[in-house]
Amino acid sequence: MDRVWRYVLFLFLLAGICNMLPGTLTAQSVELPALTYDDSKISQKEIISCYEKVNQLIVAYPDSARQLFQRGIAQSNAQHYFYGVALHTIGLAHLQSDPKIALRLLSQVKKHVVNEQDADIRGMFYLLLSRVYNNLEYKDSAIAAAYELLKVALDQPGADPEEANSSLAYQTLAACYSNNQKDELLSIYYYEKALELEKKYKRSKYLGRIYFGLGSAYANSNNGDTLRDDGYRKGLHFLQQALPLLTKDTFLLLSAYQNISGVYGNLNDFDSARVYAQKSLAYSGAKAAALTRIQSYYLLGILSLRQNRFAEAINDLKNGLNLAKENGLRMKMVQFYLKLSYASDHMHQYDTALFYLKRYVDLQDSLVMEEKMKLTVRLELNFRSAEKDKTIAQKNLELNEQKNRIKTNKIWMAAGLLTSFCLLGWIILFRRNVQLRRGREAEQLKQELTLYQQGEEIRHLNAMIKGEEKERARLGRELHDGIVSQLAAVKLNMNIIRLKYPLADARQDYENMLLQLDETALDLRKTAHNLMPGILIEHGLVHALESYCEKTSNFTGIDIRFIYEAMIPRMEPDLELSLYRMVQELVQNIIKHAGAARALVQIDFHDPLLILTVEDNGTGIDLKTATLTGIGLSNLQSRVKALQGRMDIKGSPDRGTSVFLEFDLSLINKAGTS
Amino acid sequence: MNIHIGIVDDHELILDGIEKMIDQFRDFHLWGRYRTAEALRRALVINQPDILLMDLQLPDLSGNELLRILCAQYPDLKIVALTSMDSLFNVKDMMHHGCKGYVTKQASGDILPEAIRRVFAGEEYIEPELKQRWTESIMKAERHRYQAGPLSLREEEILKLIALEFTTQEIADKLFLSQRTVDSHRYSLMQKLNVKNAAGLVRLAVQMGLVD
Repeated sequence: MDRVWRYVLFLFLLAGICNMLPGTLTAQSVELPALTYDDSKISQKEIISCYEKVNQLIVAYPDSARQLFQRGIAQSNAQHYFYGVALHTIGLAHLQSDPKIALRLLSQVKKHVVNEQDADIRGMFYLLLSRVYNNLEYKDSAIAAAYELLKVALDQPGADPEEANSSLAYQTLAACYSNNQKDELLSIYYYEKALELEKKYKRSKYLGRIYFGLGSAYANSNNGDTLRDDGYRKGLHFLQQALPLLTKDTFLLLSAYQNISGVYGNLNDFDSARVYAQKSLAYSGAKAAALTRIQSYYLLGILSLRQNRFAEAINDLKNGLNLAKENGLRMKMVQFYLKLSYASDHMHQYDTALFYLKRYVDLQDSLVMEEKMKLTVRLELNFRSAEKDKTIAQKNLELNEQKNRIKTNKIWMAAGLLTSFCLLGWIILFRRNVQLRRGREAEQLKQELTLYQQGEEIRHLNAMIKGEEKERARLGRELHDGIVSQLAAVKLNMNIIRLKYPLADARQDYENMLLQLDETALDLRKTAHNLMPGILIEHGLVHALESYCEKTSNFTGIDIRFIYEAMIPRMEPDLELSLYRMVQELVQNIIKHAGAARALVQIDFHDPLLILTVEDNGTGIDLKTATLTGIGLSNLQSRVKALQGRMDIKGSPDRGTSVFLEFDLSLINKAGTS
Repeated sequence: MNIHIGIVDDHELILDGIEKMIDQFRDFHLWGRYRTAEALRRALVINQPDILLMDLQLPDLSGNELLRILCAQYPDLKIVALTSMDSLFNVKDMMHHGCKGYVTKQASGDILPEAIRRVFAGEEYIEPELKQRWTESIMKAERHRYQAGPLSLREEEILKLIALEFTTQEIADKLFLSQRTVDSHRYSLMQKLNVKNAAGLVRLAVQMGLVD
């Protein structure tokens, strides 16, 4: 039953809103006047008066009205009279039975309408737009348009802001919401607002319609809940109130009968329901739309089913089905098939029942398919419009940025101006204490110079270190690839001589020679490696330091532990090499001077700080005698300075020496990129 | 049993020397000598030697890359690294990636033939000196595994001050350091000592006898 119910309401909405348009109600029996737009040069005022006349024709002579509207559009276009174009286009859209075409027409004039001073035309536009969207089942757009309508109505700079238009706006909103199943309460709320206004201004024009809507919404808000029937009762109350007010509006009257019948049905008062359903059928003679009659038959059929009068039910349903078939209303046919199958089943006509059921399933299938297709198309459309929105948003963003830029420029100009004034003032002041200034300026200059010199020094150091490293790398490669390899080859050859020839007396000399060769090769290799640590370049600082400590430990017998706890990132090759060199120099110092048994090399990274610690348990550095001037440490100092790092040395005879080096990698990276 | 030996090295002198070495032994045969990875790979397509002596610094491809490629392509090929690089890092890297032997060019004369024979017999072979160093480093790591790394002087100082409940700012002022530096040390202390918060640091400071 509920499903039937909703359908009735929906029907009303389409028709009901359509009728709300201004003009339609006044046009009862206007004769077709001899009015044309034929004049090649009629004034804008005349265009408007023509429009008003045509507007009264639209019920009685819709086809003529359509033609005249089209001519009006052409005439207005010829004069670049956009108001006229918009007015006539809205009229034409109103006469369109296909909502898609209507929407296209409305979209064409939207940009003219929204900026129009005249509130009436904007109101008309949004009213129609909301209706068209509603027909297309674009609910959100329909609601948005209805709100625009409300805005127009409330903003009207007329005598009374809450006059007719806002009532219309509330009705439209209510109608939109009553289409949304969950929002019946909102619908009721807006209908009541409209009702309040109508009562306040003592008007009856829309009263019947509002009662109808209110009643339907109340009934719908009950939502099939049979235990609590307040909604049904209230709905019934308002619908009954609507009946005497709807005598002129056949369509609404019939819908009201059907709705009342539906509510009675829901309240299980089948006899009353039947009375109203029959009334609806009786009044919907040839004049009413086929849909209304189909609907009446369906209602009757269902009521009969509920009362177990199956033969009557089949009769009514068959009538309805035939009518639906004639009009090609497949959505309706599906419903009839199902109910017919149900009824036949109860009459023990199983073959017929099966036949109807089959028709039902087939039709339902194809409808679902169509629905799916529609949905897909809708989704795609939504997606495209979302894309469009995105580009628009992007454009807006760009625009805003441009605006901001202009603003910033203005601010800068103002600031510049201000600065110039300040500068002027400053110059005057400057002249007054020129002596004092000069002294201070000289000092400032000196400071700047020092700063500059420091920067210059760092640059110079960096260049020097880089040049040195380049030279070392070249030397290292040459040594390694050339001389070391050649020595290895010589040794190989000498080994073979030993195998090939009995050396007898020369054996000892020969072995000594081989040993000497080994030592030379080892020295050379070490030098080459120191000059150009291959692991560092290929595998990074951590592996290189690890390998270096292991090897040095091995050569010297000092237990050198290499510790790193944090993840050390790979850095610029120049930087890694520089850090490696510093550790190398510090460790070399330990070997040469400290007399230590143990040493610690530690690298920590705590973004952006990189900390190197090199420590030993030797005799401790004597800071006073400034071993710093020793070549190793002075090299170290310039390296630290070049990287704008910090060096901290602590030494004591009982605890050995600790050297901490700290570098801010973000600083180095900045220097590297600038 | 004949052993076919291939060599890839970019130094002509070395190639000559090894070829002479091979001539010394009746069961050694030269399979081929190549100066680039590319030339070697072209030759390997046709047939493969029993042993490949491989330099790690070839002009067109680094040794560890070539090793990975060859191991994937010819799983049965036995490769012996013959190089002048003697860092443990290289030794470990090569042996972990499928190399069967590692000999430095400065090794004494009888080591290379020994390596070739042992690897041919299916064993792995690392030059004794390197092997010794590797074992030591493993033992050292093992010794250090269960004890926390030694604290640097500054770490000890900072740990002490933390245990005495000085704030980062106070520690920084006391030691003439920046707050960032102190934070960094605090962080590495927690990692080193494997504790999660300041309370853990205090507990360890007491254990280490830095504070009473």
